Amino acid sequence: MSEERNTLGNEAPGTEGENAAVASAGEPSEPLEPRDLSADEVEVSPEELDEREQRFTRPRKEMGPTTDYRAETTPEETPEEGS
Amino acid sequence: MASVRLIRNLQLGDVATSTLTSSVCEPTAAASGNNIFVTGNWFATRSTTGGSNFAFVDPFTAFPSAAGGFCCDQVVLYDPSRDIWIWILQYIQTGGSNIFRVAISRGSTFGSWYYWDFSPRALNPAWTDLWFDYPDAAISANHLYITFNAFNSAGRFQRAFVFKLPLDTLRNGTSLGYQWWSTTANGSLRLTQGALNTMFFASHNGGTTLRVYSWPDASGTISSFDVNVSAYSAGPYSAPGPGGVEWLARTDSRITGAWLAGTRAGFMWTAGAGAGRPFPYVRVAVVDTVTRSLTGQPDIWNTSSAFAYPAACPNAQGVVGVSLFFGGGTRHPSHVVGFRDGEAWRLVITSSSTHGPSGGAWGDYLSCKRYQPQTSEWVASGYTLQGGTDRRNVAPQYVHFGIG
Repeated sequence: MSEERNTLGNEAPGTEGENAAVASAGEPSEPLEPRDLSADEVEVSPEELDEREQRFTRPRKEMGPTTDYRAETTPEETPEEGS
Repeated sequence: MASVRLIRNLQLGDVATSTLTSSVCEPTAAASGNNIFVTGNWFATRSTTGGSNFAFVDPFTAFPSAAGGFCCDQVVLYDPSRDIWIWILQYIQTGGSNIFRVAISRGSTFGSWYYWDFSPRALNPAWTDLWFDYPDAAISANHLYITFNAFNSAGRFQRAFVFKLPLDTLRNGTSLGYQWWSTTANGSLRLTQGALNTMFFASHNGGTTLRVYSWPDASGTISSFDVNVSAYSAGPYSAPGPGGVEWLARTDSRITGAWLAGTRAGFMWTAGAGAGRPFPYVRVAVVDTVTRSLTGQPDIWNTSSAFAYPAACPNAQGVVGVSLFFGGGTRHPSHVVGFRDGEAWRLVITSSSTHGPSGGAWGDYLSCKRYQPQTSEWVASGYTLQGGTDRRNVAPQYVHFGIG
């Protein structure tokens, strides 16, 4: 059995860090009670989901900033030098 | 020798999902006694009978529409300290932006939800070409933490976000003030399950360096330190099963499992085959959060099949439970659960696919959470393909397990 145990001591390292921002999402919506549904009550069509499946199963998006990505560089246009 | 005890191992059928299933299922599950909630692409389903039966809940119509409509990438959690269910839904980007929704249901009124919406523009009006994708969520003693990546309309990574929402406000359903932080330096931030007074989360920092962040519950300051791990392959990933059918075409090395137990934080991701590892495997990095050093790398690997897409959570005693996939060689993708037992991983297959997926599509995440109220046990999600390769053949798996 693992020797690891939960304790209250998982304090953060004392490094200098960045400050979080604060925001408000306001009041919540009124409570809603989504119904338990049977299959024939579903509104999204199988064809819509089949089409979504095609898009959904493509290669994944980037997992973060990639080290090999560099912004494209486009030289500025300059007037051609006269002869 | 301890063994894995499957207390409830249920394959969810069409009544539960209404066949709103995808090959990239991304299932999550939470449980409190006989109440269970399971989400996935593109369904939700709940049980009030301990899993004896499930009733489909339609995420497309459960709430008023927003942005371009319901998309995908759901997460469900149960917080026992406030007796609330937390349901996170991602909406489709339109005009370069989208929202995610955090819906709450109190345990006493399980199935009745109120919610808040979060948009990039609400954080910064200049963020008009930014949309949220790929959530993770975990709770600490007093907060719900949520991470998202954010992309522009061209699909390029822009930044990663962490949101910190007070659980008391979520329970009380009052005006929600919260904290948030974002970074352009790291992506796919993975939160530790099992945190108490400080949330830890991590991301690859390039090469073999992990960047481990910490955010104390009682602070507005996020700190970080870096830890080096042993070299691993970040792909390409391949583990064809019977008939040469690939299931790792979408796999990358992002961290998909993380836990905190005492002063040890663990981070797990799928690594490509390499020396001594003939198939892709799960790299596990255990970090001491006080000394900020690597203490172990108890990889999960096998000589005849691959492991991928791990999720993890400690039980109340600090034993690490896991949920992940196993496949390749003679085996179609299978779902396994288990736990760390001293120096070994004890794993058991909950269900095996009868087919491999079309186009190698599988993933992108699973869940493993502490079961309530028996906190020495876990609840996990998985899925397999049953009887074919179509998205309708996806069978989500709900698993309640413990130590035998």
